[in-house]
Amino acid sequence: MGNIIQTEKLCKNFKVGSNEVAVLKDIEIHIESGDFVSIMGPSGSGKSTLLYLLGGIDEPSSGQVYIQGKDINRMKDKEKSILRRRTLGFVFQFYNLVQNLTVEENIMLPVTMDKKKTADFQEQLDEILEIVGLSERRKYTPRELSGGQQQRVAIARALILSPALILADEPIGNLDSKTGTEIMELFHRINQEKGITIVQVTHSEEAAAYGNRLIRMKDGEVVEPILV
Amino acid sequence: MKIVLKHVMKNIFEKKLRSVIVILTILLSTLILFIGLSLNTIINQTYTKMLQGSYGTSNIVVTKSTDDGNPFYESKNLDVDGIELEQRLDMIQAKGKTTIQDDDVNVSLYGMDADAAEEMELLESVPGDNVLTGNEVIISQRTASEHKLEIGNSIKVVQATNTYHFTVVAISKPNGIYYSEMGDILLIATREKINELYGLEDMVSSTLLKVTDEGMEEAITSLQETNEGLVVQKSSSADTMMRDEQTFQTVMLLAIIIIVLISAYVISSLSKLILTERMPVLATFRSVGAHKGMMNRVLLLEFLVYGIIGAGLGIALAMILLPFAADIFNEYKQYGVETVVEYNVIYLAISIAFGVLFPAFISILRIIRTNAKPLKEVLFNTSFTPEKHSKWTVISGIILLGIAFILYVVNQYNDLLLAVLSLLLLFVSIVILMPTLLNGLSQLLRLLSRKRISGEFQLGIKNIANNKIVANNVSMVMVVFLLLLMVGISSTGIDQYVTKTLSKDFDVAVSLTEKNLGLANDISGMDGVSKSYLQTISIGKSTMNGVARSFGVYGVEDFDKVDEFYDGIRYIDLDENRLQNLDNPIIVDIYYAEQHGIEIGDTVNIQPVDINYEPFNDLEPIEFIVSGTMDSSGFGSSRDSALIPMGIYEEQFAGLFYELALKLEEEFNPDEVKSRIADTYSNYSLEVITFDEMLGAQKGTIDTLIDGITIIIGLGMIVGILGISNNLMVSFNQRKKEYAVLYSVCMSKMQIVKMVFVETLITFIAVIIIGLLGGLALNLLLTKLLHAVGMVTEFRFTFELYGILCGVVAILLIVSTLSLVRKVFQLNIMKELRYE
Ligand SMILES: Nc1ncnc2c1ncn2[C@@H]1O[C@H](COP(=O)(O)OP(=O)(O)OP(=O)(O)O)[C@@H](O)[C@H]1O
Ligand SMILES: [Mg+2]
Repeated sequence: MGNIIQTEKLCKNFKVGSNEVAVLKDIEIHIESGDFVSIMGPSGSGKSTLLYLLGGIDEPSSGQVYIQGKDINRMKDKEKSILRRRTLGFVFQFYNLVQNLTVEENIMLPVTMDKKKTADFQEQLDEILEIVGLSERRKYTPRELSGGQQQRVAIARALILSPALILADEPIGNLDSKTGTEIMELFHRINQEKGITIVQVTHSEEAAAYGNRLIRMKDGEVVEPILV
Repeated sequence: MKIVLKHVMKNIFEKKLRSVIVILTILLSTLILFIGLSLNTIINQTYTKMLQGSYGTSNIVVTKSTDDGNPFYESKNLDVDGIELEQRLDMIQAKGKTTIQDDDVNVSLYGMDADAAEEMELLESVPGDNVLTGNEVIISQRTASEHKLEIGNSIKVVQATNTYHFTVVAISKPNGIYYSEMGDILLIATREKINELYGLEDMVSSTLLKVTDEGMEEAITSLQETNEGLVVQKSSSADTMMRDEQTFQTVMLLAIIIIVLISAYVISSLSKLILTERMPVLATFRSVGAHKGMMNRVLLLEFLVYGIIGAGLGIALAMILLPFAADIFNEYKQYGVETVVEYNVIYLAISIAFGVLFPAFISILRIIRTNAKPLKEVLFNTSFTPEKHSKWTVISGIILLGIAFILYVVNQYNDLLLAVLSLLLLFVSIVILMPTLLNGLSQLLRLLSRKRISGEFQLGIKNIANNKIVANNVSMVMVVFLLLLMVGISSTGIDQYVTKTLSKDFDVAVSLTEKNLGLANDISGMDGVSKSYLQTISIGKSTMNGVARSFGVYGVEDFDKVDEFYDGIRYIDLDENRLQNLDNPIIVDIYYAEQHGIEIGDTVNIQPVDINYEPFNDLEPIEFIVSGTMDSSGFGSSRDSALIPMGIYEEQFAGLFYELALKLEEEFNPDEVKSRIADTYSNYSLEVITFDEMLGAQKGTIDTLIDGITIIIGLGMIVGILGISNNLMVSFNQRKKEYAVLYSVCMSKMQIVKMVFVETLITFIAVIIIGLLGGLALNLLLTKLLHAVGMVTEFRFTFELYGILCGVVAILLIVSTLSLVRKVFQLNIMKELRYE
């Protein structure tokens, strides 16, 4: 299968005061469709930054990101948004739910924004709510949920349109080990059954073990791409 | 302490725009409060000064009873034995004409001791030499500049068939007696000279006396006893100006209250926003050990600093602007009355206290409420909470709204307090019900649009229902909107009344100082007068159903004649039998009758009172039998007229006002007739006024009022706009993260913009709908309030103002949405997503 993600000389610099700090340096990675990739590395090594660049949420200082062969930074804002809701599912380190919408409404956001009928997605919604264990709390608002529950809403939101790729930034960082394991099982299942490509950032070796590939980062560079 | 202050200053400077808005709001409200409070006193003082004009510091005025046709008496005939006089001034008056630069000008000649007159503050001559001899006269600065006269110039005056030459020896400021000069020329000469014009010696037409205030009543009684044939009056009651002081004060007060309410609302909502923004930061401090008290002091101090800066600047500006503002409201400028500007310490204190303490006070309340919440909630910013549609809030809102209308229905006798309360409840309930109303609107729109619209539109509609900030914005817009509407409805109503309802019931009216039938007949018989009616008016008080009110009591010879003469009076129901046969029938206004459920045949008791509303001659209330009802709205706005037979009137009531109303034949010009009357009867102190002048004066008052109100509406709008734009600005800051999330998972920036646009549109629809409904409800409840203050006339919902206000809101929303759109496109998504 072809590369769903490919980067070329991807660089990201941040201006801190008057000097530029290079956070990502010439990142070159290829991720094949159907892969389950884990990115690991010390805090501050640039993992989140890389993930945001892959999702087209942030713009690189130089270099390219190709998603399904298309340069994401050449896309118009509208195309990008379509890509983000149909092809990508993003799970953030801090859950990033819309606070004044209910669990259900948050999950269905990509559906409504894609001009699809929410009625057609009721089944998927029920199924996903069942999977993430929030069927009882579908009418709750994010503030009424625990951190782990909010993270599961975010995952459900990423899954609702069955995207080709899920980008997850420490999806289980804030969860207890049991729930963490459940979510990893879930990722494993959708990766296996639906062939969804998953790229996750994690600090846990255990979680990384669910993947078939590991990318290690240090000081903004990929150190040793290892195939498991 | 120093470190706290430093933190406060840093806070204020960090958010420059916000601080400017807060300070500007406080500045404006302090300014308006101070100017508004001061204006009333200033206007009253200016008015008093103007009234004082013709009488100076004197408190008693003596004139001749004109029964014998001779208006003069000998100075020595006034018996002042046993009365401790502080000042005395004898005067004699004459009229003449002069021609200056081909213009015929009327001349009023006053003979008096100019030194004594200056002592009584009747004039204030500039070169100071008041000792007049022979043909010497004093003129006013106005006459001097208008007719280019100087000291040493001569004036030729034609009186009857004789011509006299006078020499100007002094020029007076246009104060005191010169207020009455208007278009004429007023000359002050010696008493001897004026006597000479008449061929008389040592005669006077009036005498002004000054006694101690305590001894005045006694002196009047004793003078009345010892001086038969002379009329002795208090200076203050001798002249009654047509001035709707009551209405003016009420409307001013209403305007002040409204401005204060708008400012209070804006300040309160600003403080809320500032606090919600600061709280998480302060809570973080707290979570690492800073104690509560210290944090509270920081917040409090911040608001105090805002208050001190705002109030300080506001007062400074108000001090500068007050003279100009007072000048706008000086209706007597045309009479040359200078505006008396006085800085009242109490008003100053009130305004400063409001400006400085109010923001702090509001913030304390909020701080206490926030502190009651657990630290965790404060830490995780509460402002994102979706609006909770609590059952109890809705119920209490509906109950308050219900009470507002129940009060309206119950308030049969137009009690002012109940009327104010019912209006207040309307406002409170609108604010409380706002989230529910918005939710309803959102549900309705969702139902109407049923999935046919795209996601961003759906989300926008949803946001209106759920978002606290949006509800807050609409409430703010609504309150300001309705308050301004309130001012608008009142002022247009009053304007309408004066221009449309007031009937043209005379062409020329003559005020007499006493009931002089001979004189009235003479005037009525003049050329050009087609019809005449002599009105005799007094005042009575009555208590009905526990509600005290006063009446304008008219003594009537023939009830049919009144109806025939006055368009302003329309009989509704008459019991001819009672009117003919009873000696105590009364015709009351239908407004009064309906209010108290009075029917023909019922009894009303009326207490005759004097000009100061004290029982007249210690008389007991008099019983009257209601024998008819009328609509007297064309007569006066307070609908408090009552007609009684002349017999009982003369027996029991104080004869306070006599007005001879004249209707003219088509071809005669009221102004010409007026000056003919004034000329012919120049010996009598008559006040002659044409209908147009009367209307003009009333209109003038109203116009000043409306000017004032327009200014107030304008300022209120500025304060309101400041508050609203601040709200919109903050609302963006608080929603940045929401936008970033939406962008990162599913929406393009264009879609976000569309969503914002839908929200704005719905906000606008809400303003239109709630504004209309609220405005109509307001109109109803406000009418009661205005009736309670004596403006009994129809108040209609002003669609023009409503339209203008909708327009302003539209512009405001468009401008803020455009800036929002720009901000959305510039939004740093990463920053919002990465930091909690
Ligand atoms: N907006 C920014 N401005 C300046 N520096 C930034 C910005 N965003 C990130 N950085 C820097 O980039 C580096 C990488 O950040 P990043 O969040 O990618 O790290 P991370 O590997 O995800 O760490 P963690 O495991 O703690 O989440 C950090 O040193 C951080 O300070
Ligand atoms: Mg990270």
